[in-house]
Amino acid sequence: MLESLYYTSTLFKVTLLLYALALVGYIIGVFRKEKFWGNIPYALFTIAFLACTALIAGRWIEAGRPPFKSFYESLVFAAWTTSLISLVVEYRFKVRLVGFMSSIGVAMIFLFALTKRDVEIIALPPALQTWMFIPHVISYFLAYGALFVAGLTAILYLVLPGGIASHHSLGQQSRIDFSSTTYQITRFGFLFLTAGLLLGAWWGQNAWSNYWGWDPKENWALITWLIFAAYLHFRNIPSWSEKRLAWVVIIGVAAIVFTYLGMDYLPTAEDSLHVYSGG
Amino acid sequence: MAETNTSSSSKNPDYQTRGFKRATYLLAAMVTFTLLAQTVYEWFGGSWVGALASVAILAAYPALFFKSLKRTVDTPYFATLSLLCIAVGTAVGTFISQNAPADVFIQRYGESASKALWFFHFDDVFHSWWYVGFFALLAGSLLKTSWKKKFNRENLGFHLAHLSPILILLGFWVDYFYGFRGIIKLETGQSTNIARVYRGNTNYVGDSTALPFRIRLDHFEFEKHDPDYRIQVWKNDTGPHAQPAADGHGQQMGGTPEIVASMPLKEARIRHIYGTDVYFRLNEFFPNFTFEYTYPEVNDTVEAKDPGVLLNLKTPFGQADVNLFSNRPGRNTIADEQHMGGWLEFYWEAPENLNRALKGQVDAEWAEVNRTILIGAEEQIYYLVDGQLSNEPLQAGKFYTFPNRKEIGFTMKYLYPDAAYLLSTPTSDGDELLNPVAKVEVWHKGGTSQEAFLYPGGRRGGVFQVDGTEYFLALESFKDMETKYYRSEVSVLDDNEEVVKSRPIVVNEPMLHRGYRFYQSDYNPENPSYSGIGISHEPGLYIIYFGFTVLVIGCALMFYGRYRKVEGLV
Repeated sequence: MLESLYYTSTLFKVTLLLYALALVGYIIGVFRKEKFWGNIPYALFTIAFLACTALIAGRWIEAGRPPFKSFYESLVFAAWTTSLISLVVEYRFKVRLVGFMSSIGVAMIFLFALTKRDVEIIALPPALQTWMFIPHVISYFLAYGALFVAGLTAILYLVLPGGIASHHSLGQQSRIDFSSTTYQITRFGFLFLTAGLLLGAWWGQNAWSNYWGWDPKENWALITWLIFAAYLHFRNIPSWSEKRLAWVVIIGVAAIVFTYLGMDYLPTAEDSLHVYSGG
Repeated sequence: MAETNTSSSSKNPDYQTRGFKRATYLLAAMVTFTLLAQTVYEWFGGSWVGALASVAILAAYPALFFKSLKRTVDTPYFATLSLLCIAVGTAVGTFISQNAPADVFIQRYGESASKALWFFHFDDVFHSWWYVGFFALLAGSLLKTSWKKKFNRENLGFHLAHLSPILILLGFWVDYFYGFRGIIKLETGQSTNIARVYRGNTNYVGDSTALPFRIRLDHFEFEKHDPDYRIQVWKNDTGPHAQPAADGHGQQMGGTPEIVASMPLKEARIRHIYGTDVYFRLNEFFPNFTFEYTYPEVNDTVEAKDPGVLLNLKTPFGQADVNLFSNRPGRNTIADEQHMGGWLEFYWEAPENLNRALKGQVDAEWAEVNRTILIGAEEQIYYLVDGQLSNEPLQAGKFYTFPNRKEIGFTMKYLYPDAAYLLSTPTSDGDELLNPVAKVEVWHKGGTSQEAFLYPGGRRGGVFQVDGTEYFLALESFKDMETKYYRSEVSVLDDNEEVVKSRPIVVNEPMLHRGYRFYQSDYNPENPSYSGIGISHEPGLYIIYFGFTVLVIGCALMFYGRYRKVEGLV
C-alpha cells in the first residue's frame, strides 16, 4: 500500500490527507461540546470534498473521457457522492455524527481505492462511448452514496434509539430522530436507484440490444431496488418497529455493497458485462 | 380494507403476525401450484394434454384462494413479502449457474443436488413459473392497491408509482411472446433475410427466423484506440508460481509481473523507483527509431579491415538503411530473389566467381540467379542477368534499380573500408509511431548512469532489468488494446433486391427498420470482412420505457410533489 501511495498523484495524497484530517476533527468533535468543533471538521470535510472534485475533474481531463470506467475510478467517485450526500445531510439535519460516520467510510473507500489504483488509464470500449454512460453512473452513485449514508444513520438509530442530545447537533433542536432522517435519505436514494435502473435499461438496449439481460449485476440492482421498495412498504405496517426498519436499510446497504463488490464471486458473473476491469 | 387502516387494532403485533402468515400461505400456495403445473406441462413434453392440465392447475389457484387473495393482496404484509420473495428468487438465479448444460450442472452440484435444483427450476429461475407467478401476484397487488386509493391530485404520484410497474411487466410480457433477439452474421457483400435467434435470455443461438426483407453488409471497419506509449516500472513476480519465460529471454518477464508506475513521454523529470536507490529519466523518444550513419571523410587512408557499404534499400516492403559487410559471412548478401529480382551482394575485392565470369568462364550454377554485385575497391556494380554480365560505376547518391525491376533498387550512401569508423546515431525517421523506442538513463544514487533503450513487446527483450532490484523498465502502450469503434455499413433490400435504406451502424447507434432494430454486436479481428449484426424485435420496448419513466416521475411526485399527502410517520 505504501508503494501505491508513493506513486499516486499529489492531488490524491492531498485529498486522502484532508479526509483523514476531517475524520480526526470529527473524532474530537464527538467529545467536545463547543460549536467550533462542529464547524472545523465540517469545513475540513468540505475542503476534502472539493479536493476530491478536483481529483475527478483532473482525471476526466487526463483520460479524455468520463472517469467512471475502472474500479479505482468508481471507488473515488463513490467517495465523492458519499461525501456530497453526507455534507448535505449534515447541513440539512444539523447532525455532526453523520459526518463523523461518513468520514470513516470515505477514508476507508479511499484506502481501498489506493490498493486498486490504476497505473495506466484504460481507454473506453465502444459500448461505453456514449453520453448515456454519464447519467446512468451518476444516478447510481448518487443513490449508492445516499443509501450508504442512510445505512449510517440507521446504525446511529440502532445505537441511539432515543435520538441524541443537542450538543451533538449543530442546530437548535434538542433531539435528532435518526429513524426519520434515515427515511428521508433513503427516499432520495431510492428515487435515483429507480432512475439509474431506467437509464441502464435504456442504454443497455442501445448498446447490447437488450434492456434487461439477466446479467448478475442487473439482477442484483433489481434485488437492492426490491429491498428498498420493501423498506418503503414496511413503513406502512404500524406495528413494524423502527428498529426493524433500520435493519431493513442496513440489509439493503449490504446488498448494494455486494452488487458493487461481490459480482466476481458469483458463478453467473462469467458472462457479465458489468464486472470492473483493472484492479 | 381493515388491514391498511392505522386504527389502534392494526398496531397489535398479533394482527401483524396474522397478516404475514396469510401472505406467506398465499405465496407458498402459488409456488406449489406453479411448480406442479410446470412439472405436469414438462412431463407431457409440452403437448396439448400437458398444456391443458397445467392451465387447469394454474386456474385452480385463484379459484381456491380467491377470497383470501382479495383480502390480502393489497396489504403491506403481502407487498413487502412478495417484493422480498422476488428479491430472493432473483438472488437464487445469480448464485446458481443458469441454463448450464446438464453435465456441467452435475459436475458442479452433484447428481442428487442437481435433481433437486432442476425440480425447483433453480437452473433457469427466470423462466420458472413460480418466478413469473410472483410477478403476476405483485401485478395484482399493485392493481388492487391503486384501485382502492382515491384518484385525486394528492395521490397522483402514488398511482403513477404503483401502476407503472404493471406497464413494465406488460412490456416484458409482450416482448417475451412477440419479440426476439438474435444475430445475423455477414461478410462484406453478403446479404440474407435469415436471423439466428437467441434462446430465452441467453446468448445461445436457437432457431432461425426469416425477415420480411434482406440485409446486406456493404462495408465493415474497426479501429483500435491510438497508442499511448509510456515508460513503466514493473515489479517481477517473485512468488512461488513465478516461472522464467519460455523463450529464454531472461527471468525478468517470469510469471506475471505487476505494473507499479507509469510515466507519460512528455514528462522529463527524474523518477525514483520506490524502495530502491535507483533513479531514472527519459532522455529521448524516437517514434520511428532508426540509426543515422556517418563515415569520416578519411576513408582513403584507412586500411580495408572490415569493409562495408551503407545502402538505402527500397523493396516492395518499404525503405530502410542497410549495411553490407564484405568480410562477414551472411552479412554480405541479401538473397531475396522473389522481391528484389535477384541477389544483392557486396565485396571489397571481386570474388572468384565474378573474376572467372569476367574472363568468359561463367559458372552455370552460379549464374542461375540474377545478381547485383557491388565491388568496393573498384567502385563498380556488376549485374548478372540471365547469365549475361554488365557493369557501371558505383556512385554515392545515385538510385540504381534491380535487374528487371523499375521501382525498387538502392541508393549508395557510404562505401567504407573499415566499419569500426562508421558512426551510428540513433534518430527518428519522421513522427509516425512505426518503431517506437525510448532512451532512458538509469543510475543508482551516487553511481554513474547507464543508458537503456526500451522498446515495446517486452518478451522480445525490449525491457531494462534494473540490477540489484526486482524492478524493470519497459515501454508499452495499453490504450490501443481497446477497440475504438467498429462500424458496419448496411443496406436493407426489398423483394426485388432494390435498396430501401442504407446507413452505418455502430455500437450505441442501432438502425430501426419496420420494428426491427439492428445493432453492431460482433467482429472478428482475424477476419476484417466479417460483422455480427445483432437484431432485436421488441414490440414491448416503448411500453417498458414509458412505464419506467412514469415510475420515476411517480416516485418523485410521491416523495417531493407539491400536492403530496404529508405522511403520518415522518
